[in-house]
Amino acid sequence: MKVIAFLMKHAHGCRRYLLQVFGNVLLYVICGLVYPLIISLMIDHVIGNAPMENGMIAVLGQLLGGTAFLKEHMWVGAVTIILVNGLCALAMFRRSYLSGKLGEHLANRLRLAMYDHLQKLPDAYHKSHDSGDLIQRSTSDIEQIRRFLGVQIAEMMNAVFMVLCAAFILGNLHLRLMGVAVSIMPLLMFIGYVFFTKAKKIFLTVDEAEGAMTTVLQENLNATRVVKAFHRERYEIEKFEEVNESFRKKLFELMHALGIYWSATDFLCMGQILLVTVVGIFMARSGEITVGNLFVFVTYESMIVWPMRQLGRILADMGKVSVAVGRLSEVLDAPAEDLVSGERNEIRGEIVFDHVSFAYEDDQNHVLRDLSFTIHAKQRVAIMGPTGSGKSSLVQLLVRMQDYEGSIKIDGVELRNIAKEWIRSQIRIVLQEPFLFSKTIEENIALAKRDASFEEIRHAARIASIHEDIEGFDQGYATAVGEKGVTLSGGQKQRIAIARTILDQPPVLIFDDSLSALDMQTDARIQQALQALKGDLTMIMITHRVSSAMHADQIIVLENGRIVQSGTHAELMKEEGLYRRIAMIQNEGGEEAWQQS
Amino acid sequence: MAAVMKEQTFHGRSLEVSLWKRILHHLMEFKQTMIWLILANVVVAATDVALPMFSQYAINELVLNQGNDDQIVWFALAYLITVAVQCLSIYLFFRLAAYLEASFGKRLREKAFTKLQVLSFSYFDKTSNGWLMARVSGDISRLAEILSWSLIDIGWGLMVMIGVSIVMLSYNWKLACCIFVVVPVLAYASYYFQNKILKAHRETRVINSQLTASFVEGINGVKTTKTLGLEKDNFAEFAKLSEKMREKSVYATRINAMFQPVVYLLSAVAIALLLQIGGQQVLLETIQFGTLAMFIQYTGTFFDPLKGIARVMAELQMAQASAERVLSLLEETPSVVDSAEVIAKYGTILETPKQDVKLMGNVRFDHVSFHYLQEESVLEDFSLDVKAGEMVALVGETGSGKSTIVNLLCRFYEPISGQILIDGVDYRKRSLGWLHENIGYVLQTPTLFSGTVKENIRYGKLDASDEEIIAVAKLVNAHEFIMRMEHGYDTLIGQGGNRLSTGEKQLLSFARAILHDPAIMILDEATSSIDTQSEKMIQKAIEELLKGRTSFVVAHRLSTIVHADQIIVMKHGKVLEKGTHQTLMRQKGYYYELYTSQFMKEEQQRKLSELHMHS
Repeated sequence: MKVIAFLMKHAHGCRRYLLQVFGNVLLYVICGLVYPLIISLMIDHVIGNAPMENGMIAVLGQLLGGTAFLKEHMWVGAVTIILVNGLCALAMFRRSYLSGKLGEHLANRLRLAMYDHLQKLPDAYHKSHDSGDLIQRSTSDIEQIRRFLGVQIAEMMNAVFMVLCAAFILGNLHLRLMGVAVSIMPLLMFIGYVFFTKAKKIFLTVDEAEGAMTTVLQENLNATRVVKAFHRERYEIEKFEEVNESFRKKLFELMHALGIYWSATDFLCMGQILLVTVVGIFMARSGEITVGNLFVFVTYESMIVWPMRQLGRILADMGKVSVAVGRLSEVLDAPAEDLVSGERNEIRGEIVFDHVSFAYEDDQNHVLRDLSFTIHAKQRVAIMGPTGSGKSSLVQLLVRMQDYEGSIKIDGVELRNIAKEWIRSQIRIVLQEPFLFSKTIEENIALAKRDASFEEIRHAARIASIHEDIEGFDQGYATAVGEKGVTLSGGQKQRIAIARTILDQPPVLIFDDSLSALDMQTDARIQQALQALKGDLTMIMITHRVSSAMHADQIIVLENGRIVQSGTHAELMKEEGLYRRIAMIQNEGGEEAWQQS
Repeated sequence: MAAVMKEQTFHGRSLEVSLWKRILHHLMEFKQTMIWLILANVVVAATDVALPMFSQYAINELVLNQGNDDQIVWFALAYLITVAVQCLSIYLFFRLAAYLEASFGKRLREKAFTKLQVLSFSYFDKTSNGWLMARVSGDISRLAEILSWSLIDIGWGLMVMIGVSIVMLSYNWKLACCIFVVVPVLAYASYYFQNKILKAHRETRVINSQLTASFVEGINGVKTTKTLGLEKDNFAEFAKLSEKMREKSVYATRINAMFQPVVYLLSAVAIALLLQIGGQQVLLETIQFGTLAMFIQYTGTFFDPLKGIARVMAELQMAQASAERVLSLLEETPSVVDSAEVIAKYGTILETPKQDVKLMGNVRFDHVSFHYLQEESVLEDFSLDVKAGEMVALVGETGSGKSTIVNLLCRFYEPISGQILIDGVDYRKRSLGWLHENIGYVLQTPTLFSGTVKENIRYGKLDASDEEIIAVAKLVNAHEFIMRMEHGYDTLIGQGGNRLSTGEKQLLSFARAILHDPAIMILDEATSSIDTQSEKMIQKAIEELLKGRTSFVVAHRLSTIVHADQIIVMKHGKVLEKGTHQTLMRQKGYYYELYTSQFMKEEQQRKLSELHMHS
């Protein structure tokens, strides 16, 4: 039921296809079954001289112009066979094509729905869910559903109609022989169902054995140096032999089981054909059925046994579809962020915290406690504090990655009333661990402003002190990042992230400890370049370095989620406190290093 | 990268016979299985040919000519036996082919893996792990599958077609021609469609992997997407790709859906011809109806193998790239190998060294030069004399040549000119195995294996007792944290040791190296420092590690360098300065500069973190 509701929801507009598939399956089955009847007609009444007793065949004969006409013009029969089969072939094509198309349509829709939703799920959701698993759901589970709609539904319809229609026609020809002809069907289906339900376990052990083998291989390749340096080549070969052999055994076991299944059911199917043939012979000898009828029985039998065998397997596979649907629904039903609703006021950059507290959802302890402070527009603020003091959480609140308690006002408007999309375009943050997309460097910098001119891009790269590095690459700004391109150092990535963040000159700019990963000289160079932007934007900088903080208009020192000190460098140096202690340590040896620059 | 691109572009080349011959050469190891497989196939093919003859007999002799009841019993019995024989040989065929696929795949993987153990670093430097993984798992499986099932399919198909042709011609050449007439068209159509189908599928596979990559990027980069507000742009890009996938897949579906009906229609043409010509013959009583029915059945028997052969030909063509890549791996020769004399004397790398000369640990680089690529030399005329038990620290920027010295010392590479003497003998005159048995190597990023703690330490000495293992673990202060884990030394540490922290992994890799008890120890220090507490433990462990051995340290840490007997300061492949810490500091040169800027920072960070811990 869950599956049907899910498909109804996502496959709306696809129902037309489903009906068409249905129609074509029906056409295919009927044409496929009619053609042996024509042969039977020809054999018994055109070539032979049997009296026409069966109504269905008589109608067929009348349609083709009567037996007398057909005897004169035998080619009419041959042409009819070609025509009927032509129609059958067409239906066959339309059936597979339309159901395939239906599957692809739905897969496309599901992919888009998943991608869109994944992007809009809150950051917290992604933090608590394994990315590998999400990817698995977006690919394998969708594939499972696609196969079901694209192939299996049509096959199922096919098998069911084929058996029903064949049984109907055969029953019309000879009821008892029809009983013989379908006697094995339930058993065949049942065996298929049971076997493939059980086989799932064997499939799983094969996957596991292959996984174990891949792990040994992968670890060996990652440890080439260790293996060689310890002279463990032979040991590794023996280790691999073990998992390789176990995989071989499991794979053989699986295929052996399949072999038993296929050959045993082959025997059942052929045995069934044999049974119909032998019983049919007796009946034909006694004149209960005609030779043509015998031909029809034998031909139909071989048309229905194989799809029936397949049906059991499809039924066993249906369990997988409902699992896949469940796994997709789980993600799609998780609440997404609302990006669009809310105010879109002009932002100049005044930020007022009024008794703001914050705790992670599943945590009792507050990360931020009762913070109140004001940042004036166009100010430059530094936030310092030990690891875990809440610096990062504080700026995450500003870009609405988390909800907060208390009040934060941006230019007088309550932050939670502003559209998320809007606030994130106005308050830009350089993350601690920036992510670069596998595009060119130029595209990576221009992410947030796709129409940026090359001059703007270069200007931003210069401020972020990455321009020269980029020029040093073979293809300059057109160099690709990631798997297919250059591997960038952590510092280089960080600086590209800075460039892309400052590119569209947001009114508020936040550095989430983005500069500490860089060496002091580069840090100082960027600081200097940022000075040029001073007065244009509000800048909040989380830092470990006193040298970075000292020029700020305001320094806020956090400890255990509370503000312990705030003021300018000069003021804080006069107080006894964390800031001065840090400053003194950093002064000891670092002085000469950053004075050189 | 080039390999990836190659994989993605499809070449509609014709079959390369010589390539498949080389592959068949490997398959010949399973000659016996192959012979049985072919025999099983002959039986299957023979029964396939025989079955329609039963229909003919049944209709002609039993029904039309009213044969007696005995005849029917014999007929039913013979029919049953034939069916049973066919199913039994299908089972045998299945079993044998499954055995062949599993075993041949295993054998190829074994060969590839063994090759990977003896190949030299020059190979691994230019070949990515991902590429190698794909060869050993994906390509080999595909090859084994195709060779075990598909090739046999061709044999079966040919036998059936020949058998059916002979029977048909011997019965009635006119009716046989009704079927033969359609064959060329069918053969062409099959080949045409199978090719197109496989090509289309390959294209969708390529886009599919791009789609997966898109999902990976979308999920891993989600925070960046949010902060930069890229949701719409990303979605638009993804939608484009997804739509392309849909289009290509629908195209593939269409081609795929066309093939069966075309075959169906062609066989209908053959059947219509049979009915027209055969019908006349039945009317003239040249043949009986049973013969006509047999011919109608033969259309199916004849056309199925034809489709099969077309499919296999197309598959082989597609698998050619896999075959090429697998062969290129299997036929690769290692660049650093022992000379024939050395192997004759000491055995190959895969055997335990035969002789046991104790390695003392005197190392001398004698005017050694080296380069990875012709155009850029990394080490020039490098000489160094190290007495047994001395400690050498190598200092310099990335790319200055430090690691090259380590690579040469480990004989991962060999000098281009000059020589390296171990205990006064050029190391190329001894076996690789001997050197590696006596060398310990601890890497910057500790590399462990999945398995237990115990197994990982034992890697250093395969016959070590549990007591020995615990002793070395205590020596490096790993015992405590090991005992804290749920199953102590039998705790599983996950793939690559993932369940341990970096510091813990490092300690285990130290324990492993100490258990190996080498005369020469090489330590590639980690650049990034861990928390202060484990830092101290690691420093102590390093002291244990180096105690009483000749040691080479690619140094990043102050404390290690200060105590070195020799510090070699490298820049651009040349020795810039050389001496002890004191002499180098007094020189106020490059080393002094490095020391002040880099190590001061480290000191500072240490103090800061202490401050934060106490606050």
